[in-house]
Amino acid sequence: MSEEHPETYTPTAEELKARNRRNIAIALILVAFMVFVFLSIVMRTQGAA
Amino acid sequence: MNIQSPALEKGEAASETMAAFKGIGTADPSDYFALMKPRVMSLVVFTAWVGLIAAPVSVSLWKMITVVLCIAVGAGASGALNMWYDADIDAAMSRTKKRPVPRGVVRAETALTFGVIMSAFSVLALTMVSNYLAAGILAFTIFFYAVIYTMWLKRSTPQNIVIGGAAGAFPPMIGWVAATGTITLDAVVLFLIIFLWTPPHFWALALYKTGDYEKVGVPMMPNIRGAKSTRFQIFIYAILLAFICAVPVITGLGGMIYAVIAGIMNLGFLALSFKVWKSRAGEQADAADEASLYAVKSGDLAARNLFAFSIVYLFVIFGALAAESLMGGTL
Repeated sequence: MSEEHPETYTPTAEELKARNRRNIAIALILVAFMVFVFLSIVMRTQGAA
Repeated sequence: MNIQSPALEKGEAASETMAAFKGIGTADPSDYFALMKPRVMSLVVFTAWVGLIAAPVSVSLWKMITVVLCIAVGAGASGALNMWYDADIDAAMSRTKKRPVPRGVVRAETALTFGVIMSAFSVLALTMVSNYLAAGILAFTIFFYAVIYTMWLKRSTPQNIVIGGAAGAFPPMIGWVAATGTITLDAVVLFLIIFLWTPPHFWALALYKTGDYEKVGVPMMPNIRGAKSTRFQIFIYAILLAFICAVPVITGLGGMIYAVIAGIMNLGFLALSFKVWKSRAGEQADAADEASLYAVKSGDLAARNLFAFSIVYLFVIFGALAAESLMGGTL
């Protein structure tokens, strides 16, 4: 904890690495979800045609 | 009946671990995956896929993959909600104490948030790729597992896994409804096979993990009605299961391949259940290796064998239905 900002927390190196891994996983899931939505719309549109 | 859980005192140790959790945490994506109970999810994925395959309509590969994915995520979400609510008793049970929440790598509140978000995603996505009825059943299944089973039945009645087993029985029905848009007799039969399979499957495990459940105050059948009554009930459920497994042959859902395989598997299930009934399983102290699902003392061997066989049984029964459907019922 810094004296000027008693509410702040300095993450450890291990925590930062773990957060980075989580962020990458979330990014990949979001990209996969976008692809999923896009392909679902394309498939539905083709199915309706 | 409402049992006051002594685990809640033991759970205090877990609360201390969880309270000591500070900072941004060191949880890996794999810890979040563990929250989704991947072993349970594998069974859900398989049975849902069979529901899609066995349905009497052709389903595109894309739809099949996306529907199964949605059901898997929904099942995982309900697993995360279960781990959020059961963090106290999970910390005190040998089988569950290494889960991410009791280990202190994921906060219970984080598991709750994760579960709620994934639930919403799975139901929304299933609506997009299939129909409202399938998505509605998925939403109901998540609610049933997280609220009816986890929050209510699990800690209040020895019939917990009988009624709660419905949550695990819905996936093939969801798969079927996602393909056809309607609930038919065959969909209900798929549901009933898993519904009647669940009590002997879980009670076989509970017979040699009695101490674990007793320690945390979860009223499993062996703790409340005794091992003898549980062993008898296992055999009764095995008979009912054999009957319901014959129904697909009558309705036409299963043909010759299914009839032969289901016949052999049910004879095996009945034989092992009979052995459990006549054994002294559940009448001694807990398993030899507390952390293992399979290591047992000699008296509990029959229960352990039934538990292990029951997993293979379900995969083979549903596999036979899928195989027959894929072959177009040519035999």
